[in-house]
Amino acid sequence: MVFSSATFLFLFLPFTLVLYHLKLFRNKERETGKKNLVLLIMSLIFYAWGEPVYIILMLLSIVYNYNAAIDIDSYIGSPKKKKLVFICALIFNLSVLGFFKYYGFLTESINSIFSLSLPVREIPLPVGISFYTFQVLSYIIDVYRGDVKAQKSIIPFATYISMFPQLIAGPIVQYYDVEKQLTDREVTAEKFAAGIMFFIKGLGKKVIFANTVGAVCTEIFGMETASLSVLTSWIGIICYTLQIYFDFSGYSDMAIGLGKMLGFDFIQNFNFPYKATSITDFWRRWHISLSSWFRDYVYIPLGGNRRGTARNIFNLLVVWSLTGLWHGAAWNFIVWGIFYGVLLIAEKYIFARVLERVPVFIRYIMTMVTVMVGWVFFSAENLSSAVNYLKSMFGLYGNGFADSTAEYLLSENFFSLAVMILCATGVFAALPRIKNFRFNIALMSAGYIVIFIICIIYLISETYNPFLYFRF
Amino acid sequence: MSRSGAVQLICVFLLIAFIGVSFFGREDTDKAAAEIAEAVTAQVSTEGLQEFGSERLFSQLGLSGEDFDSFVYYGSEDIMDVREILIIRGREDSDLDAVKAHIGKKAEEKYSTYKDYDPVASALLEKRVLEVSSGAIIYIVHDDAASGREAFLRCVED
Repeated sequence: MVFSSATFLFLFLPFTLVLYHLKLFRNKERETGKKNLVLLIMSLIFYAWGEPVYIILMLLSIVYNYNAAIDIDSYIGSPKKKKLVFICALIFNLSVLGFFKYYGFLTESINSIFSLSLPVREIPLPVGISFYTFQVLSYIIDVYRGDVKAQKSIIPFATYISMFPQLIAGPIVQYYDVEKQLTDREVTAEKFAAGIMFFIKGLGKKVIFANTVGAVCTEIFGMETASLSVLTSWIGIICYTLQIYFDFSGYSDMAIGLGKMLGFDFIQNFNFPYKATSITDFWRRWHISLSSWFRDYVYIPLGGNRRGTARNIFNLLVVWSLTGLWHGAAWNFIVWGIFYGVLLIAEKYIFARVLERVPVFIRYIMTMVTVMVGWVFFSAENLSSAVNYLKSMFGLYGNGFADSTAEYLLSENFFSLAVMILCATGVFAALPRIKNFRFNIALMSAGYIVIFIICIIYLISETYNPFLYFRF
Repeated sequence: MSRSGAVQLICVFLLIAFIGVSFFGREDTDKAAAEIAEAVTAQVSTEGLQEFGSERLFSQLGLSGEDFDSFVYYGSEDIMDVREILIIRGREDSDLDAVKAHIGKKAEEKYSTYKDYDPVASALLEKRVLEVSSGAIIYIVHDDAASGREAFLRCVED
C-alpha cells in the first residue's frame, strides 16, 4: 500500500486514526500501551497488504532481535557471551539483508567474473527490508554499546520496527530517538495539525511535482540515447533530479506528518539539498537519516578522521561504497557511491582551500552539475547506459546543442520546471511571511486544502504511482 | 540455555527454512514471466517483433521493470506497428489492479491517437487483451490476441 493511494487515504488512515485515538483507559501508561498495540496491528496489516509472505520475515526479525537485545543487556558481567550474542545478531540481520537483496547480484557477478553459469533465481526484494534492517541494527549496536537499555516489552519494540509511517521508505529512525516516545507520548491539537500539513505537503510533492516531472524524464529516457541533443539530455537529467527529490522528500514529509498525527517526532530527512554549495554540504542535507546511520555505525567505529589521512580516506571509501550498495545491488549504484566518496575526499584534502576562494554561485553550479552527473549513474539501468547518457550530455554523439525536441520540451515544461526549481531550492520557503498570524493560518489552511484537492484529482486519474525509493 | 537463547535459535531455524522455501519453492508456485511468455509466444507469432528491456517498457507504458518480479516485453521498432506483448509477474498482487488500470489508460490513449488515422492499427488496438490472473498480467495487441489470452490463462492457472 502506498500513501498516495485512495485505499490508504480514505480507508486505512482514517480507520487507523480513529482506533488509535479512541480513548479506552484513564491511566496514561495503559492508554499508550493500547496505542502501541493498535499501531502495531495496523502496521502489520499495512505491510501484509502488499507483502503477505514477507511479513513472516519481519516478525522473525522482531522476535529474534528482541531476545538478542535482552541477552546482550543481561550479560553485563560476561563480555565474551555478550560479544557472541552481538556477533550472532549482526550475522542474522546481515544474512537476511544479504540474501534477499544481494543474492542475485552476487551470483551474476560471480558468473560474469569467472565465466560460470550458476543458476540465478529471481527472488523478489521484500519492501522496506533495507530500512527496517538498518533500524534493527542500530538498536542492537546501541544496546551492545550500552547507549540504550534493551526494551523489555515486545509490543513497543515491535511497534518501533514495524511502524507503518516509516516502514517502507524511511526515514531510518534510530532507537534512541524514539525510545522515550514509545512509552510516553502525547498528541496535541497543534501537533496533529502540523502532522496533517506535513502529510499534505509531502503528498503534493509526490503527486503534483514528482509525477509530473517524472513523465517528462520518462519520455526522454525512453528515447534513443545516441540521438539526443545536449539540451534534451540535460532537460532529462534535470527532470530526474527534481523527480527523485520530490518523490523521496515527499515520502519523508508524509512519514513525518503521519508520525506527528500518532504523537511521534521523527528526524528531518531533507533540508533543501539542492541549495548546497559543496558535495559535503549536499550530503548534510540529503537523506540525513541514512548519512547519520553510516556516520554513527560505520564511519566512527572505523576510526573516522582520528587515525590519520590514509585511514580516513580508506574509511570514507568504505562508507561510500556501502552507501552505494545499500541503494541497490548493481554496479552502477556502487560506482555512484564511490563517485561521491572520491569527491568528498577531493573536497576535503585537495580543493578545500581553492573552493573557499570560488564565488558561492559558481560553487553552487559546480555542485549541482556534479549531483546531476551522479544521478545519471543512479537512474541508469546499468553502467553502460549511464556512460552513454553522459556522452550525450557532454555532446560526444555530435547531435548538436539543441534540436526541435529540446525546444518543444522546454516550451511545454518551462513554467512547471521553473516553479519546481524554485521550490526545491528553498526560494519560496525563504520569502518573507505576512505578519498577521490569523491571516497566515487562514492562508496556509486554504493552501493545504487546495493542494489536497488537486492531489485527489490527480490520484483519481492516475492509479499507478509507485515511489522511487520503494525499491531500496 | 536461557529462554531467550532458545527463542533466538528457533528464529534462526525458521529463517533458514523461510529462505529455503523462498529459494527452492518459489518456482513451483509462481511461474516467472519468461515461462508464461514462452507459452504465449508458442501461440502468437513474434515475427517482426523484438524483446525489449526496462527502458522501452518505461518509455512505452510508463512502467518501471524494477517494480515487478519479472516481465517480458515484445514490441516493434516500426513506429506504425502497434503490436505489443507484455507479460508481468507482479511482486505485490494488490498493485496489479493499479498497473492494469494504468496500462488500460495508456492503451486507450494510443487507440485515440490511431482511431481516425490508421484503421489497421486501430482495429488491432480495439481487440487488445488486458487481463490479470494468478498474480500475472497479460497485455497483448496482436491479430492472435485471443489465442494469446487463452495460452496465458492456461499457463498461469495450471
